Amino acid sequence: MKRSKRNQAQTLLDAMGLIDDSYLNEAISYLPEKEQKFKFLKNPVARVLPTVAALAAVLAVVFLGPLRGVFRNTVNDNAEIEQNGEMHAADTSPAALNRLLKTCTESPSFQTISAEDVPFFDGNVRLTVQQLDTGELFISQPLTETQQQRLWLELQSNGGESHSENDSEKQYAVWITLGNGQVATPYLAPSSGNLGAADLFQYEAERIPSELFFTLLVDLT
Amino acid sequence: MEDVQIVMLYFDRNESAISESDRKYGKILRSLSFSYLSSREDAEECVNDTYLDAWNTIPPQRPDYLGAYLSKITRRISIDRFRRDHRAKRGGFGNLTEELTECIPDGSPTPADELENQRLGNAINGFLASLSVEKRVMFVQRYFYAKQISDIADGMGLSESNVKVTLHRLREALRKTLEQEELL
Repeated sequence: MKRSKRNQAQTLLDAMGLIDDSYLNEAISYLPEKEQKFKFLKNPVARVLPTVAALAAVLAVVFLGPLRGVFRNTVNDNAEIEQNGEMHAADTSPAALNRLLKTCTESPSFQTISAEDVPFFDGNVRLTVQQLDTGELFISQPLTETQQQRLWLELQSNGGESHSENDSEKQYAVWITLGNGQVATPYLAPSSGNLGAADLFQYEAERIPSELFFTLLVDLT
Repeated sequence: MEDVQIVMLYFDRNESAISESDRKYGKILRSLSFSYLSSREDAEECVNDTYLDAWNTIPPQRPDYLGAYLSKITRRISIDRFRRDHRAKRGGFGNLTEELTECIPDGSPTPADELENQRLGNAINGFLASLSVEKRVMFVQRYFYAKQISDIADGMGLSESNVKVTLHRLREALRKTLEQEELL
């Protein structure tokens, strides 16, 4: 006896239960092509990436803010430095830098300060020097715009000549507090990864301060 | 959580396998069951029965696609429930038919039925393999997951008329395939 069309349809409906699992999975997870392009946005991590990138950009602007005057009159600055060539230190060895930093700490333009009182957020760019054997901290007066420009040129340079410095020669640590909570050091390249946040952080020197930094220290004393 | 991790929870007899399954596939399973039963309460019961069935069958089963595995269980339970409920509601002639089925020696499918069903399943899978991904997804969403035309159209970024026309052509193509293989 030929089965009714309705019974045949029911048989067919039951047979749909034998569809291969891979096709069922494909139907569950299917996204049209145009949505596939934006599928990564469904990932919560990917969704916050643009926000993180925007925040990083804002931080970069904030960090560069105190130093942005550096970009102005760069040619004149170089000329000024050349005109003041007599200020350039002839000896840029670690020993000479130690001597210069010692002079700074004894200068009236530097004051002793406790770590808790370092003004990280006062809007001024300053140098902070630590005498490593005593842990004593000395902080400079706010740098003038010209001094900030010199400092920026120093950081943008490749650093001074390499010296075979040993640990016994490391007598001072130096940081640059930017007044917005950011902290840099002339011993590290000025990238975002080398910045501290309201903290005089420990560092391993990646670069050696160049003659420009010596000139700045001479100027500060 | 990945399917393989959830399946491992079943193997470890860890009851969080149920909650993880529900977190990942509960919505799909409820929607599937509701499409057949049109009752949220009944759909909820079917989904709970699905998890019980999965708990009892994994292990020894180790599904590669847990969503598909659970969907098949939900669909089977939902269709069984639909047929049982409709038989009960029919009364009169329906009751007589129900009584007469008791005269049939064995209620379970005969080996011939099983064989025919298997051939039909193979034919459908062969037919699906010949389709583009988009058409295959549309067919499976409609005739396995019982999704509404409007939902399929929304999900695939197509118009409803486009989906209707495509499904009509797919049904025609399947009919020809089944005729060629002398099935049904």
